[in-house]
Amino acid sequence: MPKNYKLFLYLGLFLIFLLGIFLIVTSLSGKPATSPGNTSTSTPQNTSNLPDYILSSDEEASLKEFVKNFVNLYNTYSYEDYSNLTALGDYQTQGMQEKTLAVIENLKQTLPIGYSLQTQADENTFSYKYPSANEIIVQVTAQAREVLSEGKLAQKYKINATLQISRQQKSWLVDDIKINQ
Amino acid sequence: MADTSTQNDTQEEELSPQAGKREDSDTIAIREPFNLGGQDRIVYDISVDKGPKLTFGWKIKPGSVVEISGSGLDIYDQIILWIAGSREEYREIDRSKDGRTISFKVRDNISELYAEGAAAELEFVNSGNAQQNRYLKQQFRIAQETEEQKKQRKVQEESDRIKNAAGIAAEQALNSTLAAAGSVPVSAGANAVASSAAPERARQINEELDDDGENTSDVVTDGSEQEVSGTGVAGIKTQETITQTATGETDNVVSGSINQTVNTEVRSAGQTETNVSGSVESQSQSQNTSRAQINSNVSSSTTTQTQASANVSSSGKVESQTSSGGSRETKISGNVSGGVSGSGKQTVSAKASTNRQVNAQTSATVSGQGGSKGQAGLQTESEVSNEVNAKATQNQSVQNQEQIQEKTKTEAETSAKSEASSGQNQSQPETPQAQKPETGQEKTAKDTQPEQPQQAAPAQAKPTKTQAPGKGNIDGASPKPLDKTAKKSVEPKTGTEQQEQAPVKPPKGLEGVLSKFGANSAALDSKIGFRPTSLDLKNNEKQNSSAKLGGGRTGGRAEDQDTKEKDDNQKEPEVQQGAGAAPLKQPLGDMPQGDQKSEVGDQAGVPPARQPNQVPEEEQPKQDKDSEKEPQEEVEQPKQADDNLPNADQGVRSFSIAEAEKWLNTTVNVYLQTLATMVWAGALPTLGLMILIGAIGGDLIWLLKDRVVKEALKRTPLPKRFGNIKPEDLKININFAIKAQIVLWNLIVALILCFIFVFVFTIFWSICNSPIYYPIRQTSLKSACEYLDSTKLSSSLSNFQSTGSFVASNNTPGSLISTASWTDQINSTAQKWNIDACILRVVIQKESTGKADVIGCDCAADKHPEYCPDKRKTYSSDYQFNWAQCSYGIGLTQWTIYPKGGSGYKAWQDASTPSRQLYSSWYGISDFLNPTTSLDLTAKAFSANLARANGDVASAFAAYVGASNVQAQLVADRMALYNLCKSSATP
Repeated sequence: MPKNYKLFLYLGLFLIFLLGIFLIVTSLSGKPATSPGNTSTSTPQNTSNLPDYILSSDEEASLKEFVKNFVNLYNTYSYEDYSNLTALGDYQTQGMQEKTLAVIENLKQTLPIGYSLQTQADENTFSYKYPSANEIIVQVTAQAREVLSEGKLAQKYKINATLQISRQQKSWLVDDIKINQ
Repeated sequence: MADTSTQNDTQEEELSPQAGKREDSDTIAIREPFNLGGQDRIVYDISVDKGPKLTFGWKIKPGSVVEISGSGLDIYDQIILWIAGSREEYREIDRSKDGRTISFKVRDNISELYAEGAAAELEFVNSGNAQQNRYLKQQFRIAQETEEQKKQRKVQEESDRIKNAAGIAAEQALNSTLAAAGSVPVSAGANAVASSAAPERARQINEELDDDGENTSDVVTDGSEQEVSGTGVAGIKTQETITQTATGETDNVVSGSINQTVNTEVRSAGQTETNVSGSVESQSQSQNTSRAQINSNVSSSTTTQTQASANVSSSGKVESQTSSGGSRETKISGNVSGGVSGSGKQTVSAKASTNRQVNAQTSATVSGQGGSKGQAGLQTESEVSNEVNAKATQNQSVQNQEQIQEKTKTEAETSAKSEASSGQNQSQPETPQAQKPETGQEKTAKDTQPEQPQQAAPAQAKPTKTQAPGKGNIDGASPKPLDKTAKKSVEPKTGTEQQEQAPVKPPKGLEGVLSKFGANSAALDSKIGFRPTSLDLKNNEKQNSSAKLGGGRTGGRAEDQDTKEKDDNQKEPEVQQGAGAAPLKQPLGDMPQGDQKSEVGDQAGVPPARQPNQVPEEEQPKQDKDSEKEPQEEVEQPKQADDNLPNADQGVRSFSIAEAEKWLNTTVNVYLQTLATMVWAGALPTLGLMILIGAIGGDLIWLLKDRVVKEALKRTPLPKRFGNIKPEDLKININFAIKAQIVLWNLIVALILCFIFVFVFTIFWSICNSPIYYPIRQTSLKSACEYLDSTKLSSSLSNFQSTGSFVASNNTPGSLISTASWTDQINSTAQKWNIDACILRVVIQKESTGKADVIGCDCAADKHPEYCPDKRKTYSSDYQFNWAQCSYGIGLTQWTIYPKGGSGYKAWQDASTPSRQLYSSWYGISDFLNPTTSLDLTAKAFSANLARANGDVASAFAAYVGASNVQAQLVADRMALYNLCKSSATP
């Protein structure tokens, strides 16, 4: 074995040392811990250019709860029972309320008798993008159970909900919601 | 004077209101069951002329003796018989005595005194309680006198006049006899005879009394002095019959006949002491020739059932001084028998001193003036007194008056035959000589007849001319309570007086007795302030003019005065009161005294200025009915009595109707009260059914009382005494007590019906509104319940909609729920009840869409689209409620009011009426529409729920919406909202 293999050994260990330093420096520079997961295609993808805010664990947990319940309520209704939709007025922006009313009106006209839809979001699929201090984009996957008409079997499928949430007076208000099947 | 007997018969028929239909109708209705203290306790029995006591069907004739007896008489103390407003009869009742029997005698000439149609009224007076007074009314009617009756009456009058003339002649004869005997003072014992045969008679009496108690005495006068004494057995039975006929002659023809028989029986058994003493003094002078024959038989019968022993002693002294200048033949025979029987002890004493001091009940005075001059005075205790006033003048003007026959309890017949002839016979009694003391009689005579003071007085003081002495003695031995009285007086009158008295009809013997009552009544009238009525005045007139009353009773009166001289001295001023009004008041129950007093009163009551032809104006209405000069007062009384009587029949009928109505109403009310008592008694056993029957029956009877009662009267007619009164004429009056009970029954029935209605309604209401009975409600009672609901809902909805408690102005269609406006109220309420504010937000968000005025319909829209066209739709004018079918959430937190109530719920009524109970308080729609109240109640409920769930919000929501599988999604939704609320807060 050549007498200079020791040289090559000492060079490899130096390179590993440099990699370690690199990694340490990188972690300390604030890179997102998680990447936006299943976001809808409509979700703006401009976060790559700006450094995102990072939620604390409590904030993230709270936001998860908020998004989960909102998605569940928003996507749970039945024929002539849109109370969950109407009950979310306190958590919607004015624009979102109008969109909701439009959805309700559309549902009133389109849903058949006996139609019902129940949604259960999975908070483990929660991801967010926090591009600005008062706006956050959240994605979550949910399980939907749909009965198209009375007497028919329910259909189950997954949906992806992307919510654009704004902060107003210490409260989250949904400014927009996109649900993709 | 009308023929009494004839007229009586006619009058009986005529007095009947409807004689043609009712022959035995009463002249005066007496029987009446007066209702006092709720009981009919007074019944009067009437006995007429000793007839049987009848309650009705009796008749009263002029001259009848009417006895009224009854248990109820003790209530009254006076009885007054009014005729034409005049007090015809007056009696006072001694209420302290038992067995009251009131008697009075109807005057013979009563038909002459009153006009036909005059109101007759028998008044029972309770002076202590005028309300108990009773008036028994009838109408006085007089039959039209036929020609035959007129003739008979004239014949009777002529006959009476002849008899009176005979009596005068007899008197003259007696005077002559007495004159022949001279002054005859007599002192006779019981049953003794004031006669010349007194000793012998006394002896006979004694013997008779000793033997068998019967005594007979003859009257003979002589100049001897005798004492008669005897003993007998107590108990008195006296029968007395007096008949008198007399004939006499003077210069002209004076004829008459007097038959007088005195028959006295004294039967004594037991121990009776009777002492009678008397004296007769007679002085007479006769210058003419007179011839008289007097046969007097006096028999009296008195029976007492007392037990007594009798010792009869009599003494008599007869002094007679007679000087006669003519020839005279006199025959006087007397037969006196008396019997005293019984056991016990009775003492009767009589003393006679001259003409005055005699304790006797009868005195007779015969005085004559003319050829003979004499005076005889006799006082006995006989209850039969005769007075003969005979006057013979030279011109042969003869008049006499005879007053006798009183049939009260004694029958007396006196017969006397007298033949007298004298050419010029003038008898002037020398009263001053005979009547030494100035007795009340003398005064009275002077007062009443001042023109002839010596005539009246002797007449009063004269002894009974014939049998009076013997009879008087015997009667005098009879105790007063025997109440056997027959008095007779004959007074000689001067020619002048005779002429003055000539126009006056000589009264019959009965009238003399009747007149007692009239005078007595007049005296009472005067005493109590009544003005003398025409009747009284007529009485007075007759007293004055014919001495019928005064002279007729002077014998007895003088005796009475003598007997009671000491006692009655104080009464003399009363006696001498105004004309026609002797102020004597006698108790009804003491007739003998009354008679005596009345006599005195009569004597005193003779108005001196009254002349027979000078009829006072007050009298004219009675004498001349058509006279326009009738004093108005005199006319008014009968008018007042007949004011409402267009005619006589109607007057009687009106009275009968009134009485019948009274009787009928009393009977009806008593009967109804009995029924009422039965109703009350049967109320409980019949569970009030009797009350219902009583109310219905009472109403019918009340409303149809006339028809019902009169229908009953058709089956059970009125008593006969009410005549032919038609039921239609009677007015039925149900008394207040009966009416009050009927009203009470009606009230009770109405109350019971109200209770029944409420009870039934409550049952129906409960069935219709209770979930328990929901199946029943939906089946058998569906119609009824819907009817009730519709009635209730229509009014409730109208009421609710009219309240305007909330409007739809705040409702913005399409807006979402926002609790932002309630943030402060939510936070304060949550803090108050220590709960999470998000709970209240969730409730609001899920229940009310965040609007306080929302009324949510809980009916399933698919089942009742007509009721809930849009759930959660707020109220609007086109919102149709159906509170009976749907539940409605009210207000901010949607507190629900259920359609049919239930536990803690009430059925919908109206907007403000509480319909739901929460935590022991009732709330209505208005309350739930208040957001503060609504939130507060919600917070309170969740506070309780959290407490029970140990703070588990999901459990609290589950309790709030109902912990069932159906509600699980509702709970999940609320929990999602709750978590959303909780997580919406930003860091």
